[in-house]
Amino acid sequence: MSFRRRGEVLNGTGARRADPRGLPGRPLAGREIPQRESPPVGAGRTVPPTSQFAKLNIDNDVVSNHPGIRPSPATSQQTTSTGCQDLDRLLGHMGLPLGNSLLVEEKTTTEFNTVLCKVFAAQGIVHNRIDSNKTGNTHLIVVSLDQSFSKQLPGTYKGSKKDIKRSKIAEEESKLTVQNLAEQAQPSRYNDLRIAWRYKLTDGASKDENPVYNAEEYKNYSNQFDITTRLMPAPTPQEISFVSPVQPLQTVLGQIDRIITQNKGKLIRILVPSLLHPAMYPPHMFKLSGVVSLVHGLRGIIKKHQSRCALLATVSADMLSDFMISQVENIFDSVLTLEPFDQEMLKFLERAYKSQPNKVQHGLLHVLKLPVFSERGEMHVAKSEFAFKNGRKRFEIEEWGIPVEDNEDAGGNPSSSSSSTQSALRNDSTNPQSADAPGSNTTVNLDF
Amino acid sequence: MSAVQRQDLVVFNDHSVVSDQIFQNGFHHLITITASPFTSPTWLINSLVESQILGRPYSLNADSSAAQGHSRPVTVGSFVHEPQLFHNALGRLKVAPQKYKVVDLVTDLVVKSLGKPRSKVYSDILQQFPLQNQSVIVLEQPELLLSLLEGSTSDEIHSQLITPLMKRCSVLILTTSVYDDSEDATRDSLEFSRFTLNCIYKSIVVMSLRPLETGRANDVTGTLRITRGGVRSPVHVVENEYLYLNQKETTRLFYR
Repeated sequence: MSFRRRGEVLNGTGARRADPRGLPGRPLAGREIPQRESPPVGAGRTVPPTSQFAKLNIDNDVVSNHPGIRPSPATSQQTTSTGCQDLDRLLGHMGLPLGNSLLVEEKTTTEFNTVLCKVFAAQGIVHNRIDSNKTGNTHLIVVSLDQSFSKQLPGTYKGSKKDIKRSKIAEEESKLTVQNLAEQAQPSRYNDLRIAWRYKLTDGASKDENPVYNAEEYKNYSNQFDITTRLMPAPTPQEISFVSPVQPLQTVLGQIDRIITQNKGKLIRILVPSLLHPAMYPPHMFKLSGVVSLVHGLRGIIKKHQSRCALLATVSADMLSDFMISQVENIFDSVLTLEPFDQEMLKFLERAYKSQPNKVQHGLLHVLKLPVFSERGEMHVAKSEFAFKNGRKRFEIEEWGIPVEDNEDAGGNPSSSSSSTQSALRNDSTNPQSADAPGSNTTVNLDF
Repeated sequence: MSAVQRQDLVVFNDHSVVSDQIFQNGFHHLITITASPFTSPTWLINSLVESQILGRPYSLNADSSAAQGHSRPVTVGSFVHEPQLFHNALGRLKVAPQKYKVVDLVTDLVVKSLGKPRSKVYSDILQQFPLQNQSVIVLEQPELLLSLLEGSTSDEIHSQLITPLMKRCSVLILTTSVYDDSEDATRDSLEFSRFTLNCIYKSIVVMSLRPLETGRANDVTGTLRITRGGVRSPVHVVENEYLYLNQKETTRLFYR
């Protein structure tokens, strides 16, 4: 019996040996080895793996091992994070697949979509700065007049005040000082655990709240941003490019295409914040031919460079006609709608979550199209199934459910409500005229 | 739904999807597929292309005893989807890329058409489709030209693009997205309605994809309704309505 080393290459350049367990030259039924074309004998030099990948038509434009790209768990397509982890999850791919576009519409006059724009932009800059290479790995294109946008990007969330203090202490302890060397003999954490074990706190690492994101393999894929802080230092022109929408359409599309070509090998994130904002777009863009041409042109560019481009656009839906919105939606790969709650609903939620004010949602999120899935023909319209809330450190999206109002008056003094209901009913029975005017005396308090 | 309820797609009376008889006598026919904005007809286009090249839509129909049609050259053009999407989907259906052609009408269409007269844009698009008898052309969402070309009308697109395109092949399969708001009476929306109505009027068959009226469900994606169009078909059209489920790149049909 002979053994073969595990590291040895099985598929040699010579003719394949017949399987010793079967008939000579005939593979076992159902166990056929895929036939591969062996290189000609005497070729000598082995083909490097990179050129083999090139033959397979795998686009090696984007730098390999990009921290901001991972395969989609659903379709294995290359995907990049939007900067909002809940949005990544909602899209069904743990991000936005490359070569795809996302439109976020917002109803009423609120500006929640700007939060999504800023985290999308900030995520690209953070990815770019992870790379030790001076040229970077990501470039952001913003179609906007507002150049101060780059100074408004949020910084990464560094944890709560306690966490920041703890990290500072750890940093101090890691420094090489006489005091630290003396304390190293007995780690201080054992002193802490004398009390901690009573509360069943484990010695190991804290529980992994989000295993998909905290996986070691994609640890830099998505970051959490604190919208009250600023990304320091602010992005430079090497990281972010602004394209003015006030130019002729051909110039706008040409500039974007040129920037993509110039940043060869980089992941390109295109951002169109507040599409058709009256202060930024010329009047002719508000015609159907203007806006559809712009969006179709952008789609053409993304599909042309689909191995390294992704697009996020936001629009205020109330400014445009339903027909125009439907035509714009038709061109995007995925569409979401934010519908903020009115004041009455917000007051109700604040009452319902009196003891937990951080649970108050700010609006509903409707899903109209999801990337790749909707293109295949699947129907993913989900209206009023999700709600969003914007916090300092997260833009959260969760399943929507109407909360039960915890009315203390009704619960604390049930006799009063029942007596009032009874008196109302009594009035109905004693007053025959009430039957003629049903709306006047039949109001019953239905507080739960 | 159990596998027993699964149905095959049959459009014509001779148990075919696109009957061989309509390719005879040198006529030019139109088949229209209408779809709501959130039920993309990509799977149906792929199945129809597969049926024209392989003779039968193997991915959709399980009945192997059904008659096999002839293989015909197919050209696909889309104003919304890039050619790679069709290559990937048809590759998965084991359709050889030499058997069909995909015309790219997405990349640089806007840049190329800006500043040109509309008639030149239409003729440029037409030139990309080969003139072949007994062939099939699939055109996805040509109504986008109403938005892209300022001043274009439904009648103009029909007279300068759709009708000449029909003359380049035996069967033109045209898909269009339907905007359903009866209260919207703007000029643009009326032109869109007019375009769809013209297509239905010229068609021998209309296939209509709609989402389920009761909302989203896990076991049904929507309905596929097959009806006769405005033009009399040489082969009787089997009017029918199917439920369909689109899941993980496969589609199954069920009787309503």
